[in-house]
Amino acid sequence: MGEVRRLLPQADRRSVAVSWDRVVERGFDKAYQRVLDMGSEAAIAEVTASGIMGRGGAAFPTGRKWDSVRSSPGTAKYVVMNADESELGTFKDRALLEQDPMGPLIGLLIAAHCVGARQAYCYIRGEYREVETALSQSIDILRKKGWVGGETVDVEVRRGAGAYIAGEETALFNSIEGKRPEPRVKPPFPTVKGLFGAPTLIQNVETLANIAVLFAHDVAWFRQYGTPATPGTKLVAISGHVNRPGVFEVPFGVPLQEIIDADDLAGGIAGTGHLQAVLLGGAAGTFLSSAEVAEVPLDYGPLAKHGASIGSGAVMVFDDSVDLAWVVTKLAHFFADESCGQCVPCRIGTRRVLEILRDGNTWQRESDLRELGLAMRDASICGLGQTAPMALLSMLDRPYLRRVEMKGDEHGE
Amino acid sequence: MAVNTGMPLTERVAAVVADLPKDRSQLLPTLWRLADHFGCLSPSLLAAVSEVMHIPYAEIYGVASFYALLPWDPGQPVIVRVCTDVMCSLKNSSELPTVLKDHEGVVVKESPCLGQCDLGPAALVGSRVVRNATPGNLAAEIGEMRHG
Ligand SMILES: Cc1cc2nc3c(=O)[nH]c(=O)nc-3n(C[C@H](O)[C@H](O)[C@H](O)COP(=O)(O)O)c2cc1C
Ligand code: SF4
Ligand code: FES
Repeated sequence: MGEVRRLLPQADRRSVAVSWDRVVERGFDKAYQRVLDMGSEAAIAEVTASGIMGRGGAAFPTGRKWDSVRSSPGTAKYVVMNADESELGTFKDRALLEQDPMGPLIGLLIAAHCVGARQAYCYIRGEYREVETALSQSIDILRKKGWVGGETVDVEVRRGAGAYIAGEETALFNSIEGKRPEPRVKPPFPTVKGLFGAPTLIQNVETLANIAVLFAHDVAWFRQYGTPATPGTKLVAISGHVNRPGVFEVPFGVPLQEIIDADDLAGGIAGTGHLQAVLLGGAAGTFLSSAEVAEVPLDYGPLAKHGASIGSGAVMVFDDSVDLAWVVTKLAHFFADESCGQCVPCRIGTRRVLEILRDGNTWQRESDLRELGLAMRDASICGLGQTAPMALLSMLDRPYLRRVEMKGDEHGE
Repeated sequence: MAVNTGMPLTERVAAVVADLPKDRSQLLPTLWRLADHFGCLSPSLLAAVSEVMHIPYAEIYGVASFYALLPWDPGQPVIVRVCTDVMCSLKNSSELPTVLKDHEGVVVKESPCLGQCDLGPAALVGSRVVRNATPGNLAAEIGEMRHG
């Protein structure tokens, strides 16, 4: 089936990305008008019927989240676009904002209207300055049209400053509030008590783009691609040993192997030409062996049988020259550095994992690592600590990915 | 760049952020503004912010020190952040910091994933993204930062 372009604009677009013409050409003006005409409740029902799930990693049903924010008591409510994108191997929100910033923004305006928010934020990582400029210019265009500001909703761009944890939703709220970006204990959930203590809807960039294209069409159109359980398309960011690394839009349910091999997608394995493994979903993702890659489609249900998920949409491809022990040691480094240090299981756990990997006797310490992983999963405050050892454990679960020697840091550096 | 006008620091800080609301939620935008204006942050700058925004110094320091991108190196050096995360390392990005060490007035730091893995090795020179980084195109970008 190959590449689809719905969230990403067709290559033959006449309009430039940051322009009112683009809004019109993509049908986003009609989308917004359609929502205003049908009213919030009907619009939320349409989001629910579309089956859109969050594209930021957790795949939570988007319509349910909107319902919850809308029905939470409170006069002040907020919506937030999460463009912090700092997960290893993840660059699809960047590509989307470069190619079509108006889509996610219109999605944000629709979201604000539906949940009753008068103030919106776009939180973008500090390393994406060019994208931030395009985003600000796009907001100005919408402001001139009277769609932003005044009696509608105001939109403020917030620049992050280099902290992976700030992408976690409650840490992001603290960052906007001028506090240290440390995650909060949940519950209460953001839908009830989020930014400034008010009901808050926070969505990933790609989720909001889905909203814009949904309302530019309808539910039947939206469900033309994907699977009944997971309708629509997904942006995947492919890097590593493939011939055409980049961001591609594919229908849910497409075979992973096809994403890697198709000429109009990643174009086949590069490097040694032999696939060893794919790390799917980011630093807290799951390693899939070449045999698994050959049989599994890009969908939550089938992937769950392999203990995997789509996560942020990162597909990191490794040929058979890569020492995966080196990879997991690097991941361990990352988590130990980026842990905010607020809770003990994560602060100490990420350090312990790193020490064990550095000592190089990983296989002998397998049961210790598993126990540590469970403790971190059960007792950490946020997703970082809960999932930090995931990739490592997924490698331990796949003995055929084990190398004879694991030397951690000494290897490959 | 920062010109010393003889004004006390607190007044200079107040002038630079005059248009920003003096609200706690404006702390990070304020720090970014000052970093851009003065080239880097310092304890005395944070003390001035504390006075201007009526936020305790310790709170401001706690926030400012959390973020990796806020600059603290005095003397307006060019900061180059080379991505040495997994995907860029596969493309030998970890060799780039050594090569760059010879540039004068350049501070080289290693960075986790910059979100450019399809075009790695990636680096940030100042706030500019450099894709497919080589010693050559990094040197060119550093030169441009200095003179442009
Ligand atoms: C450590 C950590 C980092 C995260 N970083 C991001 C991020 O950069 N972008 C994002 O959209 N979601 C990120 N998330 C997920 C958010 O907490 C949240 O679930 C998401 O923004 C919700 O949007 P969605 O429902 O549209 O996916 C992160 C979560 C964790 C635990
Ligand atoms: S799990 Fe880690 S990152 Fe999350 S709050 Fe605890 S220490 Fe911070
Ligand atoms: S690993 Fe270097 S940009 Fe992602």
